[in-house]
Amino acid sequence: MNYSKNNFEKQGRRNFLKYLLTGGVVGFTGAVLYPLIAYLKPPKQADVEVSTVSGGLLSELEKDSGKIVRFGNKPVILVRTINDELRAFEATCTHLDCTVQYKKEMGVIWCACHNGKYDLAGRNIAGPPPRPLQPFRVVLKGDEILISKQS
Amino acid sequence: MNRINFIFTVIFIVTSAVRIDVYAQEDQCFICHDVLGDKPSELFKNDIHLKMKISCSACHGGNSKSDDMDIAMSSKEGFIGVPKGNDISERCIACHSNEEKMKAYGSNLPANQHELIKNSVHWKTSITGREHILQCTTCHNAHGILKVNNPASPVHSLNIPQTCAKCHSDAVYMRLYNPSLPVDQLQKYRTSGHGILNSKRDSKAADCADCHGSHEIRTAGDIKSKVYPTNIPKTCAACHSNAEYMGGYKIPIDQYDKFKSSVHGIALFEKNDLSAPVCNSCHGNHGATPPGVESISKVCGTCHVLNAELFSGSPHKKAFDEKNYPECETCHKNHDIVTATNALLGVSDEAVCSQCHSESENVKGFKSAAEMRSLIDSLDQAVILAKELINEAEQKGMEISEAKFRLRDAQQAKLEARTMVHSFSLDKFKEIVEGKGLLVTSSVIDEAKASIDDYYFRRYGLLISILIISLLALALYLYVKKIERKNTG
Repeated sequence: MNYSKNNFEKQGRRNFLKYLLTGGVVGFTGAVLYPLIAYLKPPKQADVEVSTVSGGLLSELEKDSGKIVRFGNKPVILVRTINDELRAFEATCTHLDCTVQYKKEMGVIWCACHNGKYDLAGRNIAGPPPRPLQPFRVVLKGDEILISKQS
Repeated sequence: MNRINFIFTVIFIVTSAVRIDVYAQEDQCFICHDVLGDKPSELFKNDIHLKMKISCSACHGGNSKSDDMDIAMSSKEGFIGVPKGNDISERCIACHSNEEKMKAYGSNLPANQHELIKNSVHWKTSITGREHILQCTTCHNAHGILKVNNPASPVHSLNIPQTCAKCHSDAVYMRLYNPSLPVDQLQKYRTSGHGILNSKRDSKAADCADCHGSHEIRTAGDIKSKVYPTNIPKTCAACHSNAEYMGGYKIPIDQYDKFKSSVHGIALFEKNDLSAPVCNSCHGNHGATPPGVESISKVCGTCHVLNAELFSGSPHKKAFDEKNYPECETCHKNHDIVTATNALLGVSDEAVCSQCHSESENVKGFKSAAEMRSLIDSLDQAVILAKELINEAEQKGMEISEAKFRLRDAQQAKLEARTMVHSFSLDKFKEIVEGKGLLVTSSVIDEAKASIDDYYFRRYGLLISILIISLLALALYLYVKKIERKNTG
């Protein structure tokens, strides 16, 4: 009776150890594999200091039109003028920080918040904006438009 | 006592007249030219300088004591004839910049006119390149110079506009100096409150010199000019904030104090924003007059274009016109315009809508105002929450810049909604607040929350994997022990 009781206890401890070991190995494998698998789908990374961004392809931007391009945490407005010149400015209105847009029918950069207007050199020409828009440099690399900070 | 005073006064007048007469007889220049009856001597009879015993020779040179023309007007005696160009002013400056000399003549005139005029546009600029654009005589005349407070003087307040206009209304002359300078200042001035009073011979009304200065007249773009944007409020306040001076005009004198603390005053004085409106932006400068009820929205609308356009197309336009309410001023006041906050909107006591709308009167507007306020407050709260969550996610080291970038649109929707209030259309207002603002904030809030959840998932995941690894290590340890025991047993 004592023998069988001891035998049972020994058997139980052995099984528990087996379960613990098996569970531990499975858990460890999971803990190792999950980050590996997750690595294949990387999380979002903070932007490093942006100095140049792509403004898309020239062939996709019509003449006399403009678009907003994200430059780090700032919006930049890229305009292809009717004379086929490329201009880029910080798209934050100098009045109250709204995002400006290109207004084709007026031929100006326009702020929807208070009707501020800038000419295509970025100068404030009407409405409440107190200062011109900060210009950016635009270069073409083949068909790709590259926008960078002016040095 | 009165009789004694009278006698002394009579004696003084008689002796003064005799003294001038005696002096005139001594001034041979004047005697001869008076006999000739020429215009200069005719004018000189009233000249302040003749009364001060200053002879023609003071400006023209020569010997005024000699009755022999050849001697009196000889170059040997220093006769220079009619001074030309800058020599004209040099003659005036010789005495007027010499304090002692001026005191000797009993004059209390300041002796700094030359110092002041040296900084003026009239002195610094030249058309010919050889002489100043004007000389002292251009404004004060050459002969027959009178005291400034003499109503016949060309520089008396009543005559200054006409004196300045001699050149400034002459398009042909002004073109030589500055072709882009307007030449209609006098015309506008005559329509202004100041000009009308000036025409009625009120010498207290502002003339050109009150705003531009007299000797030290600088261009409007000169930072030291009295009419440079940052200086204009003080220039106007010099009279308009002076209770004593403005006593008889029955207009308030607190405009400057109100303006200083207004949103426009803060932009100008504290932010040095030269695009901020100053007195003349709303009242005009040469044609300065208070804008009428009808023109107020046009005046404000020159800068606040969209607000003015929306208001003109709103149902309030008709209602305001019928009640003769000034458009912008009714809600925003005039000189003490403060930054518009949500508090202006709605039906609370401090809201301006409740001035006309109540639960029993103009009910539709009352309900719209209440809903608009509730919508903009919701957007405000949503933006605040979104910002807090983004900050929390950033602090936890999560990448959330995309959502942060999109939050700009919500901020913009807030500003657009504030402008859209002026359409007084609940539908248009809703379209911006709900369709643009709240839509963005809700997606930003979701993304920020997911980012924060992701942070906790990673944190708890790390904790769990540490537990698992610890457990495994413990199991391995026990297992190794067991094998050792088995081997030794």
